[in-house]
Amino acid sequence: MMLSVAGIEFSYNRHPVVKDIGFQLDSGMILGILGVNGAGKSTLLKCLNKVLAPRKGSVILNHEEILAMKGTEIAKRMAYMPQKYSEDSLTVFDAVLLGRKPHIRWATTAKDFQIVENILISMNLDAFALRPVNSLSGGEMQKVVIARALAQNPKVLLLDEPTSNLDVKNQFEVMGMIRRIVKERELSAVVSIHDLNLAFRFADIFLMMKHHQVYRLIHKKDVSPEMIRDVYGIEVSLTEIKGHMVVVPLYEE
Amino acid sequence: MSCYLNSTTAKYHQQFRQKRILFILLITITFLLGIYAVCKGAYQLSPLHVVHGLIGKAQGNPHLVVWNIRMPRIVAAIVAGWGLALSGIVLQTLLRNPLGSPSTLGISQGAAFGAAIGIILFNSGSAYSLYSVTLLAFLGAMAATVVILLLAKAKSLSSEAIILSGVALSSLFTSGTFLIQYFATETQVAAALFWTFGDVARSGWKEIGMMTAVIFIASIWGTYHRWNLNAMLSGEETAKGLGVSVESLRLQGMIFAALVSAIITAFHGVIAFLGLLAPHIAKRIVGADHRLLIPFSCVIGAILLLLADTMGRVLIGSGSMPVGILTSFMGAPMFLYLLMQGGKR
Repeated sequence: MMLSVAGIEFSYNRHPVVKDIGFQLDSGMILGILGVNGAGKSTLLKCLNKVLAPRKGSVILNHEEILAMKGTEIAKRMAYMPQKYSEDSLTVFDAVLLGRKPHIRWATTAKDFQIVENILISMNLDAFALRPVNSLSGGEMQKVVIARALAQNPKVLLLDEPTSNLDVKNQFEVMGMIRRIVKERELSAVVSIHDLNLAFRFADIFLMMKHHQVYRLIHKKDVSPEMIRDVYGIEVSLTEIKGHMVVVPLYEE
Repeated sequence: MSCYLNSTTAKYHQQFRQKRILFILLITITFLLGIYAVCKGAYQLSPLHVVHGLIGKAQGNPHLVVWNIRMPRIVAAIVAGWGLALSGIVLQTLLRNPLGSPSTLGISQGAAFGAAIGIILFNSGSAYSLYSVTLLAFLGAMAATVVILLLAKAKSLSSEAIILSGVALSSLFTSGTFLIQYFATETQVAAALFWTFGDVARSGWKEIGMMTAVIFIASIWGTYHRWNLNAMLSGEETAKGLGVSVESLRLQGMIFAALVSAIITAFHGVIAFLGLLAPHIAKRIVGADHRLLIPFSCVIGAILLLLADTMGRVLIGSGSMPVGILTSFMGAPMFLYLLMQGGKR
């Protein structure tokens, strides 16, 4: 299975935000989108499942053009998790059941409940199932959002800063969960992420954005400190600690 | 499926069933309250009379009182309460703002402005005056709606901005009404003012029929879109990601909500606060799921309006106190109480 994106263009009020972006992604792989604030990372993600309709370009998943589909059809194939997560007063169960919405025609079926129940158990959320989402902690809430995405039964996960509001343990738990799901279910995930160390730990390929365009599309092992300097405008050193690639900013006051 | 009994799904279903039983209970309460309301009033009727009257066996005065005086206002109260709550919940969800209601969006004030034009400028008093005033009130309400929708569409305003434009529009319509009243005679001002006191006793069966038809269609719309409305609770982008066409849903919902509140306001004047209060009470009882929230809000709205109208008739006496006065008078403290209770959020 392959996600193939080409020539995506999007502008806000004639200001181009995303210019001619393309990449290919195999199943079981995580693509990390890197770039400074305002580089167009969020916009790119939203263009992939038509939350924003791109002016040009194509998104092909398993030989099907996603951008030509209706919203419900897209939602059966791609699950999107926005950066700004609205506080949701639904119960956890209902919030996850909502992920079945693209598949529900008029009423929920036993299958929908079975799927939700399995997801809740596998993510250790069943203890909270009947509590309102907005009574949970940030980490639990993020898990609910992921659970809902899984309930959609998608082929592709689009995640906008999934860890930005989490403490370090929750960051690793959530990213670890995403990686496990991606490998087990053979999904593809496109993740925009600010924390470079987290990105190097969990993503396989990187799309570096600069001035709204692709600066590099590159495998993790080929990333160099010069590229990070070019993208973020800060000198860094890349080292390895206990087998993990680590970025150390060399910023001096 | 042997372990199914203790599963989360089973607990979930059990909770859902309990709520459904509660809903049936509320429907029953509405009916009992309705029967009580038919009995009570200046002309006392025994429940037996009422039952006779309802099945069409009574004659003379009991028949007249039941069918021509009490039943219309009782049914009007139930239907109007249902409709106002429905438009409140739809607006609150679509605008993602707990302040969404016909009066915060200027719809009620638009209706009052239209009615003032009818009463004062076109000088009512002719046989079909009620209809022309009603029509103008309806047009006023729709004018407010169209302006809000155009602003929302053309400038793609955020929901906060939509509420704010509603507030601005309300004040514009109110000052317009004052302006017209300034140039009117005292009798006309009194008539226009009296129109704004919401009163469910104004409509006959024909008006009730029209109102019921519109509210029925709007209820079906809301039920059909219950999942889409649930999706809106998690934010516009999440909803879009789930395949909801947010703009079209918002447009349709606002049109339905406006239509419902316009027709209710046109026939009965301004019944304030119910569109805010009923959904907030319902949220306390059933939570945010629109599969339950829509029917619960509606039936609570119906009960509240019927209760207020009956109290106005029975306790305060003198036949008929406009219910709009009571809904604000009792609704506002109740609303404050709810807010204090739920201060944690």
